[in-house]
Amino acid sequence: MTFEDFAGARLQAVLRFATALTGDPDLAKDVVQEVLIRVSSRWQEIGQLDHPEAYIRKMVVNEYLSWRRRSWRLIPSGTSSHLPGRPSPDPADGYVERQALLAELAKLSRRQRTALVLRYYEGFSDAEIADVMGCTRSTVRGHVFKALAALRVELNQPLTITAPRQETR
Amino acid sequence: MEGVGRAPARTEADIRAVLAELGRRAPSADDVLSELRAAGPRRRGTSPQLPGQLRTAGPHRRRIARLGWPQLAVSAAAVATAVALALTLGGSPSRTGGGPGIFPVLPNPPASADGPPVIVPSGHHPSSAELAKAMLTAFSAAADDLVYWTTDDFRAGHLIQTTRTWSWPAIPRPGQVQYNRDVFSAIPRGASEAMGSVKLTEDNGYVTVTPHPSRYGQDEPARLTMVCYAGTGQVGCGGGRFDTPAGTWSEDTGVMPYIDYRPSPRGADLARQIARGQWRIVGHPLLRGQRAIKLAQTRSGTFEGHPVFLWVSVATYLPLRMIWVYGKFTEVDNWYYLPPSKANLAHLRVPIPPGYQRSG
Repeated sequence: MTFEDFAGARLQAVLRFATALTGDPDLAKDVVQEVLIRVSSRWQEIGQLDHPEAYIRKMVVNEYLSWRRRSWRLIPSGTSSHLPGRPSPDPADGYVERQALLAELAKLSRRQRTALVLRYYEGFSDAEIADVMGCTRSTVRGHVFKALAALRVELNQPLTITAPRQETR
Repeated sequence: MEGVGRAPARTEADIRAVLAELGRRAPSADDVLSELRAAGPRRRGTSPQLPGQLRTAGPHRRRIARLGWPQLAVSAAAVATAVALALTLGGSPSRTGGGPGIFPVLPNPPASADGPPVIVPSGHHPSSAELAKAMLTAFSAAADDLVYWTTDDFRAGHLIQTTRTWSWPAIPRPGQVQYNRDVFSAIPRGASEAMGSVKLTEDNGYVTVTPHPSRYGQDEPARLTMVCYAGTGQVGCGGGRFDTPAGTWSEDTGVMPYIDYRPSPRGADLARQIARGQWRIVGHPLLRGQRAIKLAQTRSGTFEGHPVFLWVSVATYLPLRMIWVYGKFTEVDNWYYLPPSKANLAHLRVPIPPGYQRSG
């Protein structure tokens, strides 16, 4: 498979993942472009992997986590400008709640958000998330736990970890 | 204390639905590819470990423990202390019941704040266990200090962003009013990292009531002041309720999601890590004019073998500096525990630049 073949077949999926990850289509585009530049120059190696897309998503995660802080500060305020044209036809309450949830997602730390996206968008296991993020499974669960707590999400099944410790006062 | 937060109201299905909706907003692959072809062979960043390769340090390793903090400071965040504009600054913040109404005039500072007592006799090189114990005592003693915390980020030796943060009290107690300010500078958009210099980008003040620890997100009465500087290429700061266009300032008072402004890693966490052997003492150099204990994080530490160094003052047993190295990225943190004098607390004020109009 050539790089062009891969890009033609899978790039849109990578972009969807990057958009969910960053919460911003423009930033997703920038992040994916940076990654693709490196991928194209190393395609001989990457193309030989069993799952090049998984590797590329890992690169996207790394790029997002390392993206300069100003990059997300520079996102024009009001993500609703990226909505496709008009508010959702759903009932207003649902729309407002989704917008509120999106806004709260944007407040999470990048690592918390990354863990959440890998878990709920990609459907990865803790071990897979740990591999992508380069950390331990317990760290992954800590990120997810904190993120869900911040978003006030009720778990179907409780996470089997100890709650993150607060500083003893 | 657990369980004080509000009951969860959302489900995992809501998260999946929102993320899926976000994914549907992705840009077109054709656009990305065409721009990529036009961009030429630029290179930046690093790639993850290919099977069979040794893992190399890369930018993805940087700011591991710090990411959440400043981001919160921005996204919702960087709330502010316009309060401070109206405050008579001084001593310890008063405890409150946490109700609205709430930001008291600060009382006068204590007559003296000489810092925590020295625990280990001078001239003695403490063991890691002694050091950890001394640090825990020192943090407790410094709870009412003003902590000033600087972060400088370098890429390939070039300073690319800085954060200056003041937070008081250093360890706020539940129900206590806390005052924070966060000043961020970065290289203007479009400028070369290698050639550009950082420029003041954002100045935020945040006053809130410290909640009890909880596993849930918490809302607290707060006041956020945000100055979004123009001339750095940005179009605005914050977002949503806290939207502040560049070249303006805003102030928002109300019940907001609580943001923990304290420096990370937490002092007590550092002490525990030292006690657990995640740091080893590697020297006793001078730093900022005082004797210090230099520690290096071991491979069992949080940062998985990447070089991280910590300097702790022998005089106060409070941290002075931490340096994190992730490949070509380096972050330098400096901590200053200051007495809450009127002059020091004046740094909690967010100055409004002349000519800046209030936008919200």
